[in-house]
Amino acid sequence: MIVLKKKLYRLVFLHFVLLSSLIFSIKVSAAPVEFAYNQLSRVSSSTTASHSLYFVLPNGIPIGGNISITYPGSSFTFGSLYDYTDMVLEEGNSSNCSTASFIPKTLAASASGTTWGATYSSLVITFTSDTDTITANRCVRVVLNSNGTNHTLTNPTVTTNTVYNINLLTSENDSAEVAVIILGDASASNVDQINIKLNVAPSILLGVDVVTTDCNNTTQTTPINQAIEFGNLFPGIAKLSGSQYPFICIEAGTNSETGIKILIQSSRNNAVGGLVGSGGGLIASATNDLNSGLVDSGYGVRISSLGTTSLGTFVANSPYNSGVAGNVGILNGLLGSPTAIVTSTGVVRSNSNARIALEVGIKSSITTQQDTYTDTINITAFTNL
Amino acid sequence: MVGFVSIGIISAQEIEEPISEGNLITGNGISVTPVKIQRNYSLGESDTIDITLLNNEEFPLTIGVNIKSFKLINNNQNLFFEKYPEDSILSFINNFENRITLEPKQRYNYKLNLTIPNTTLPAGYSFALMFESIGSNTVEEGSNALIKQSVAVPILINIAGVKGITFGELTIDSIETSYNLLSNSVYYQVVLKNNSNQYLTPIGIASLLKNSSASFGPDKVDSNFNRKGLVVSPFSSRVFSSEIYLNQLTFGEYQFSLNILYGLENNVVTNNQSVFIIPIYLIIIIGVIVIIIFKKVRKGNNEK
Repeated sequence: MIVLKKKLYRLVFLHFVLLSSLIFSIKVSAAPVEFAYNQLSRVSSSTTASHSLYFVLPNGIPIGGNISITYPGSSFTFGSLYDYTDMVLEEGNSSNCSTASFIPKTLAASASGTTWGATYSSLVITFTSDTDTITANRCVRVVLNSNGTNHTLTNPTVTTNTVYNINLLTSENDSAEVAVIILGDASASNVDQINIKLNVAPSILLGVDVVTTDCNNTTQTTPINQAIEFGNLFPGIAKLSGSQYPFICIEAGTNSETGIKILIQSSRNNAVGGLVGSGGGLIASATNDLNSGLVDSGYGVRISSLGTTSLGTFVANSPYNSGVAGNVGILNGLLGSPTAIVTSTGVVRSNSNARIALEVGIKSSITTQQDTYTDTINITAFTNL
Repeated sequence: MVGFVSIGIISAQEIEEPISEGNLITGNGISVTPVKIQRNYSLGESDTIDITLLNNEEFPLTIGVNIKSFKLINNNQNLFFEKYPEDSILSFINNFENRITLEPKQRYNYKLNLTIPNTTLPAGYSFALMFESIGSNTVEEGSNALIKQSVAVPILINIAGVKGITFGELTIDSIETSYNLLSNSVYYQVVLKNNSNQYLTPIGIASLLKNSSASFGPDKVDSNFNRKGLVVSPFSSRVFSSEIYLNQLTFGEYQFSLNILYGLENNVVTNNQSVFIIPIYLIIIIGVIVIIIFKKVRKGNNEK
C-alpha cells in the first residue's frame, strides 16, 4: 500500500514537472527586447522633437502582428492631426542597429496587403501588419517626426531634469521600456543647445612658383629659385615659357566678397618696364606679338591658362588675355601703375594642381647691346578697394 | 633682423572685420588676414593694427615687410604705387618689423603700432603693408627675370578736420534705374562723388516701395547697397550698380528709394524715383488676349 502511494506521489510529481516545463516552453516565445533606445532631436523642455526609436525584436512580427509604442500620460504632446504621414517604420538587415541598412515599410491609415497600418491615439502609436512581416532579430527603426501645425510632437514642460519611460510591446509579447531624459531649467530655455557664433575674417592667399611645361601640377619652388633664366638671346628669336623656360604659376584666392586682383609690375625705375643691362641697355616691355617679324624686340607676359578654381572665377584682363603664345602684354615700371592681370569680383580660389599660368616672353634685336639683362617681376595680391 | 621705426600713438573707429585665428584660407604661399583696414583717427591718437600671417609652404619663408603709399586713380578703377612712402605716413608708424622668418605652417601675429602726430593735416591717407617673399638676388649670366611675390594689406586712414572738404561729403552725381524684363529685376546705377579729402565707404539700403494701389506685389523689397564696402577715394567719383530681384507676381508702379550712410556722423544721402514693373508674362498674356480679340473681330467681319 505504501509502495503504491509512493508510486502515485512520484507519478503526480512527474506530471507536475512535465506540466511546468510545458508551460515554460510556451512562455519562452515572449521575451524582453534585447536592445532598445530612443534618440530625440531635442531634449529640452517644451520643444518640438523627432524621436528615433531603435529596437531588436527577438520574435519579429508575423503576418497580422503589431507593434505598439505607449508614451506615458501627462508627458509628450502629439498634434491633433498626428498620423501615419508623420511616422516611419523601417526594418534593418541585421540585429546591429549601428550598422544595419534600413528598408522602410509602406504606411497608411490602415493595414492592407504589404502596407502597414500606422495610427496614433491617446499617446499610443500602433503599427499593424496585414500580410507583411518583420524577421526575428532584426533591428527595427521607428521615427516619429515632428512636422507642421497639428502634426507636432512636443517634449513635456519640466522645470527640472525628468525621466520618462516609453513602453514598447509587440503582438508576440516582446517588450521593452525606453527611458528618455527631458532637460528642464526654470531659469533658461533651450538648455540642450549651445549657440555658437563666430566671424570668419577675410583673408588672401598668394603662392607663386616657377615651373616648366605648365602649371597643371603641384610643383613648388622656393623663393630663392624663383627666377627665369633665358640664357643667351639671339636677335629676332623670341623665347617663351614652355618646356625649356618656366611659367610663373600663381595660386591665389580670397574668402572676401570684395574679390581680389593680381597685380604685376616690373621693378625697373621707369614708367615702361623692361629688362635692363648692366651697361644701361634696355629690352623694353611692350604689348606686342613677339613672334611677329615686325617686332624687333620686346618683353612681357601673357595669361597662358587661368587654371581651374574650386570657388568663383578669375577673369584674364587685356592685354594679357591673348590666346596666342608670344602675344604678350606690357609690364609697367615702378613709375607706372601696376596692372591687374587677373581679377575676381568675389570669393575665389585657385586649385593647387591647376594654377594660373603666366607665360613670360622675351626677344632681342640685332641692335640690342651685348650684356646681361635682368628684371624683377613683382606679383602682388591686392583686395578690390 | 628686426627693424623699428619710431613714432608713437593709437587708434579710433574700426571698420574692418575682427581678426580671427584659424580662418585663414590655406594652400601654398602665404595667407594674410584681414584683407584691408580702414580707420578714422584723431590727432594724437595711437593704435595697434594686428595682421595674421601664415606660411602655407613646407619650407621656411623669409618675408620682407615694406610700406608703399598708393592712390586709387581713374575714379577708383586703378592703383598707383608711389615710388617712396609719403613722409606723413611714415610719421604715423612707431614700430615697424621689416623682416620675418616663418617656419613651415607657422602663423604669426604681425603688429603695426601707429600714432598720429598732432601736426598731421586732416586728410585721407592710404598705404599698403607689402608682405614680400625674399628670394635670390643672384644674377646669372644671360638674361633673366626674378619673380617676387607679395600680399598687400591696404590701410586707409582718415583724419578728419572740421566740416567741409576735410570732414567727408558725398553727393549723388547721377542715378539711373530701369526694369529688366528678362531677369525680372530693377537695375540701378549710381555715381557717387566724394567732395572731400577723406576715404568714404558708403553703405545703405536700396529699396523698392509699392507706390500705387494699382500695383501688385510686396509692399517693400530691400537690397544692401555696397555690401562689399568699396571705397570712394578723395575727390573722385565711383559708379555703383546692382539689381533688385522681384518675385514673379510683382507689377505696377514702384518707388526706387536709395538711402546711403557714410562718414563719421553717418551722414545720409537719399534719392527716390519711380520705376514701372511690367513682367514678361504679363506682356505675353496681354499679347495673347490681343491676338484672340483680333482673331474674333476678323472672324466676325468675315461672317458679315
